[in-house]
Amino acid sequence: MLDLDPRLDARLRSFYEHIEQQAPTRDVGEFVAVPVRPRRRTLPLLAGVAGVAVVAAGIGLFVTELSGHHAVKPPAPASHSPGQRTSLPSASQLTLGIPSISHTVIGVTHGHGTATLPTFTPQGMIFIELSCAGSTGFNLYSPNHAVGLSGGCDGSPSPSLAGFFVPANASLTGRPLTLTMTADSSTIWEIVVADVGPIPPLPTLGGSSLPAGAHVLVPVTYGVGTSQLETFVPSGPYFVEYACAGSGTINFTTFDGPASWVSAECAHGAVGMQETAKPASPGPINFTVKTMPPRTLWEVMVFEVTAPKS
Amino acid sequence: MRRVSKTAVSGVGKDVIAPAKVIAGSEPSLEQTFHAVAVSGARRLYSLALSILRDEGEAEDAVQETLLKAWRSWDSVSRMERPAGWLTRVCVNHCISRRRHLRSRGWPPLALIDEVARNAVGSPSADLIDMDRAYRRLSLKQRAAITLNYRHGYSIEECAVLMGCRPGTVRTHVARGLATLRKELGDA
Repeated sequence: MLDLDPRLDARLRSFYEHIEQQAPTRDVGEFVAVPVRPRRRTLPLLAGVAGVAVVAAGIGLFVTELSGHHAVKPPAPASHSPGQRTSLPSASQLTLGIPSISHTVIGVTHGHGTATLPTFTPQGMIFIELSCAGSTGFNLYSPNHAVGLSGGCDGSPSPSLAGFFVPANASLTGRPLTLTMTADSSTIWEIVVADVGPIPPLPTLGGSSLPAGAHVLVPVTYGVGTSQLETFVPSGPYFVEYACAGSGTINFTTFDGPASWVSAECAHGAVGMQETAKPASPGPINFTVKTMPPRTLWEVMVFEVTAPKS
Repeated sequence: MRRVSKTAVSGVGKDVIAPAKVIAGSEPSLEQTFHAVAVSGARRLYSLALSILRDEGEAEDAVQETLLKAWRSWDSVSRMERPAGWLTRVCVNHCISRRRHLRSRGWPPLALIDEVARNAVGSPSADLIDMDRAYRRLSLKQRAAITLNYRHGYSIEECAVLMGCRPGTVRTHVARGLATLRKELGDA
């Protein structure tokens, strides 16, 4: 124990008690494993890379000049390294799957392995965009089972990108929600979560609006931006029921049959139904929904009406 | 209801449409032990870091860096006899190296600290401000040695382990630090 005079002892004790009363301005225990490279290393790293590049260029130039004095050889074929460095999509790429009419509740968060994300309270339908790279899959769940998603990272060093939405329901809306990402420690991932809010952004398609004899070819499918529906095989002309929300336009294209049709403004929540012409040839239809700007939210279903058999 | 994934972003690889399903599982035990040991000790680490760094933001960063390092190695750290001691050591070392980095760039300038202290004289906590001003004159290792030995009750030998130096060096840091405090406070 230190041998201190009483005056300094009292002042030091008071000083340390004052320090220990100070609470951190943010919850330092709210820990999310985010592998952020310390900023101070960036410049030395860049300088190092630039230096190595300069030296390598010099050596290459020297070798080229030297080889010019000897027999001319064919250039070496370009090689593609199988072990390319993995990099996840940028924040702007990741948020392309988040509708513009939503607000972000968990910003773009990077991590690896298992981590618990900050708690938020959903007010409506939520959108989750995530990307991962690694040899195994991921699980994203909430302790109350309101959210349970899983997927694979495809065993590829290249990152996969996936989008999910969780419809508003009583067990989700208005209740604090904590999402936990579990993955192998070697799996890197990034995630962003957005909430559309309390007002349902899109109407319910199908149901009573479908005519008698309707046969659904593509069930109600949500999307953000330009996406391709699953292929379908109609027996004749088919119908597309759609709705969209957000500023911008939506249009449909196919490579089979009519090339392009329907172009609607989404600013006021366009809702419509369109009958197509007869496909040019039998077989599967590749159907693409395009929006401009990219973060427009839409829903589409495809059906055909089969004539009653006589 | 489901949602299609968006069109492949160039350079990102292919899209994945993963069907949503509810997972009935429990949290991994590693995470539970991490929260029990590391996260619950975050406030203690914060006080320690703040004692050495005297900067709230830097202290918060030090704790988060410590937790991050702990998490990355938690598989092995959790098997240690005293993981809390490992956390303390990492935090102290981070504080010393971080502060050294700032000091090498001349931050914070002592003139600024003096200016703040002058403006605060006369307030009810003037005695604390005097103490803080004197304390900031200490080197990083002197602060760490006094904090660990005087406030946290570690022995000189334990301080040496935590700071990564010899016990004699710790004794020197403590003695010189206290001498500086006495001089600055006019108690010498």
